[in-house]
Amino acid sequence: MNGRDRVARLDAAAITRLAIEHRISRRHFLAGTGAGLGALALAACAPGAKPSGAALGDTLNLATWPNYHSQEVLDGFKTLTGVAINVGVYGSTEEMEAKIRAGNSGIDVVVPSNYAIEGWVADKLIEPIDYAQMADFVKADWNAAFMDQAFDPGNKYSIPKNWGTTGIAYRSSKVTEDVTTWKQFFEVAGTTYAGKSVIVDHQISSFGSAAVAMGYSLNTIDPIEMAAVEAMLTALKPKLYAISSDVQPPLRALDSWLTIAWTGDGVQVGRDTADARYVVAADGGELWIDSYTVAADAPHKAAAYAFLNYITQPKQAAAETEFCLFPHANDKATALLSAEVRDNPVIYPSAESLVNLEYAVNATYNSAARAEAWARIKASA
Amino acid sequence: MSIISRAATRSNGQRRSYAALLVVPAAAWYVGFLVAPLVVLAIMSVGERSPNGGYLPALTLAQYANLTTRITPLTNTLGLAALNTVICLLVAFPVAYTLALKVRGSWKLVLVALVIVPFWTSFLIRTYAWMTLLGANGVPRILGWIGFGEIQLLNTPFAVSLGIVYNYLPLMILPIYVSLERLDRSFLEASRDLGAGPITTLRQIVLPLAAPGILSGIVLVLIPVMGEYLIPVLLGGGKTYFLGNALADLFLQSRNWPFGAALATVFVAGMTVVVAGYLAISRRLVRIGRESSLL
Amino acid sequence: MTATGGELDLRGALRAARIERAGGRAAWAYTVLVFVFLFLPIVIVVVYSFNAGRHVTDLKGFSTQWYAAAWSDPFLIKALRNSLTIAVFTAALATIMGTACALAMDRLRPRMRALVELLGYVAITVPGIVIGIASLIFLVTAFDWLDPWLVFVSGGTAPRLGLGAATIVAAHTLFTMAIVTVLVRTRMRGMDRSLVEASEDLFATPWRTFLQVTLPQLLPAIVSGALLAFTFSFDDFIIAFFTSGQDQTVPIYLFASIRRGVSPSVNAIATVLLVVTILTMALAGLVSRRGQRRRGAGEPGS
Repeated sequence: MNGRDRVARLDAAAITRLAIEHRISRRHFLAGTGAGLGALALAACAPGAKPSGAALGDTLNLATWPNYHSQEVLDGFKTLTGVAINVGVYGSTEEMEAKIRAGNSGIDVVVPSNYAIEGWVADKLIEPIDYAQMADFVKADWNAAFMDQAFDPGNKYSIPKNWGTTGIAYRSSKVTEDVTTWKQFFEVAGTTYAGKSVIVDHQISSFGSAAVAMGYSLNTIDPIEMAAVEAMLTALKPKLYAISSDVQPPLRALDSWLTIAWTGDGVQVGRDTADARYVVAADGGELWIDSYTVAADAPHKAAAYAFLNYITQPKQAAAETEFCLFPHANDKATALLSAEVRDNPVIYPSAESLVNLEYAVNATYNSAARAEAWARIKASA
Repeated sequence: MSIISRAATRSNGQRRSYAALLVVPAAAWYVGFLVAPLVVLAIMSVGERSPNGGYLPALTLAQYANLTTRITPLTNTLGLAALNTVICLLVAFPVAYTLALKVRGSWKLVLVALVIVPFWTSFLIRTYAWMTLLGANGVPRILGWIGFGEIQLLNTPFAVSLGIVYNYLPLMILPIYVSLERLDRSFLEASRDLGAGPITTLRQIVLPLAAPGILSGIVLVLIPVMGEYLIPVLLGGGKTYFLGNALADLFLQSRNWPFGAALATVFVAGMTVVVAGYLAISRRLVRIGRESSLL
Repeated sequence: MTATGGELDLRGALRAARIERAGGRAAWAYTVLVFVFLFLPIVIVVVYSFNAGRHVTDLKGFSTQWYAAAWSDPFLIKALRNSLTIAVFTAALATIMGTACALAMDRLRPRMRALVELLGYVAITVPGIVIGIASLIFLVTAFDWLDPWLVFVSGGTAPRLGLGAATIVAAHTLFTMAIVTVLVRTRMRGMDRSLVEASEDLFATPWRTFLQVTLPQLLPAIVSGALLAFTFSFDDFIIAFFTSGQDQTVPIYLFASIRRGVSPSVNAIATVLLVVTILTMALAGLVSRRGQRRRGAGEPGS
């Protein structure tokens, strides 16, 4: 809390990091270290040098989000190595987990959100990244604000793909006031804009933002606080237009005017409709990172590392960012972006606006009570 | 004579045993991909959720005790499935009647085929089209021009009903059509000549003949609608919640596999009761049919 | 019969005829209305496939760009290929096993027959979402058990079993096979047994009897079963969603892509598929009609 008065004097990266660090539980820091040591021992036996083309095989299975990758970048990898990338798209980290936890899915590289990683490490679903096989990876190029986070100290298991925020999107032609906080969002969603507001179908983003609106942490798992949030959302539900993560189609068609949204939704709708606004709430909310991880049972490991080595290069990372319009954590990649993307305050919000945001933690993601509270809200009349 | 018949009996017996083997692949499939998964589901339903989600072996009925929190999806499912099946029936019957008794010649086949043609387009694509039609820029805008004011259609129970009726209509039309097709048109004429009004004819001749078709139509619609998942998601905006949605949430969001397994087990048990009821009724209908034809 | 009675009769008959005619017209109008309802979304799909706008929400004028875009979208094409492969295998397996099961049923002991019948009904009625989830959990558990054995037996060269196109086919086959069995058995009940008996009396081998007598009579049921199996498998989302590994099908692709607005190239693919199916059906109808006519003409004594 007292971090806040020092804000003005620190640089952007440090601010974000400070803000994030003092909010995140570090309980599970060392979870999975044992697994890490074992895997390191194995990795020591593997050839350290860049694997030859022949050893890579011809396919790589990538489990990721819809519309997240530039086809040219993926094609470029095939031209370079002969490995074709087989992309599977998932609507949430939970869906990816259903497959990766089931095992033998054939998936090599997965791109989960930050909150899942600790649990996946603990249950050995993903393996430590073998940086020895990624000769071109330069850690110094990366924005320290998004590296070395509590969910994966030292980026032992994950490398950021893109990051973003969970914010408020609205059409200013219909929503005439400036909606700037979650508190305000949840007030007007059920009153002024009843029948025109949407919350996403995701426990962390919707329940978490509602918790922030009530003055709690995004990560609350306190029974009394959760009961209050549940009561508020259960009462709000009949007045909503939808509980759905497909926020773009109704916002474009003006079926909905006001919605919880992720950065990319804000940018994409904003590009096509002049009156669309995307706001990072002033009273807090979610900051997230989607990261590349390698499945422990990946059938094409050499290809997986060759791919990570390729896709994290500034040129490729910049091309991916130009395509998906979520901000990237590689500074050199950011420098390569067109001014239109780099200077877009929706894509790269000011450091000040990120100060109050939190990462969702594994305990929130895995909390049975919180998941059940969210499920009950959805199952209510 | 007796030699021949004995030879025939022997070859019959042999054939019986060989031909019976044809059931093996199907039986193996049922065991491997139906019985075994349902058994695993039942075992899982007495377990516990592991701290990181998934399943932890245990022996508890806690999951079943928790089922009371899913009363709303249950009543939604039962109520809306029954209501929409009735709507389907009411919409389908006149169409089936017209196709079976009013249309003549080769037009008949073309029209029946046309009932099915829309269903060669992907379900999701058709439903996305309904989302466009029911959204603010579709029918509500037209209604607005006429002067109905601002009406919301998408993401309402109405939209869910419409989606269900739309998608299951052919399953109701076709069986009723098939049973009415057998109806001899001269019966209708005879009934009219005997001075029976249209309603009497309908009640005493058409409906009894259509009964088997109506019954199978009801089952063909009611059962899959009870397991519906996508229509409430896409047309109900996640607000009209069915058991299928509650189930998907438990596996995909909460990752509470044992609770999901308990819900699924009860669900399957409930469906089995419905099917058993259907079999009993249809057997009785067959018997009545046989007796009446004997008369 | 008195004159007044005759008059009344006539008047009554006229009135009945008038009611009938009005009723007929109303029935027609109603049927047309229902057909409009059935085809409305299809029209929307086709119209938007020629729309120049980037999103479904803006109508901008005629363009065929989405057909080109669909053709060059590797995800969509790959999903389409997966879906077709899975549907073809499902239809083949379901038809063969379902028909075999139907043929065997009458030769089973009553109790066994009742059991197989019950399993078939359960397979048809268990909701897709339940079968999808149960299959996922079961398959994964089974693979965990089997894989070490496979490695042991093969000396480490065996590929690991996992979710994929094969598991989708397995789950789809379950339901569709049961449908084929029901269809074929219904047909068998209406079948003329005397031909089979005649063939047996003439000492034809069972195989020959089957090929020359039984199979031709069952063919319509088998063909419609195969078509149903293909259609169901091709259009299924929920079972494939749970039992797929990395191989995604068209419905899975479609479901995931709605998140950021569905591209009209999806409508283009749907339009192409619709046209192809209608043409195939029309062709099949034409061929079968011609075949019938020829057979009718060739029959002796006709």
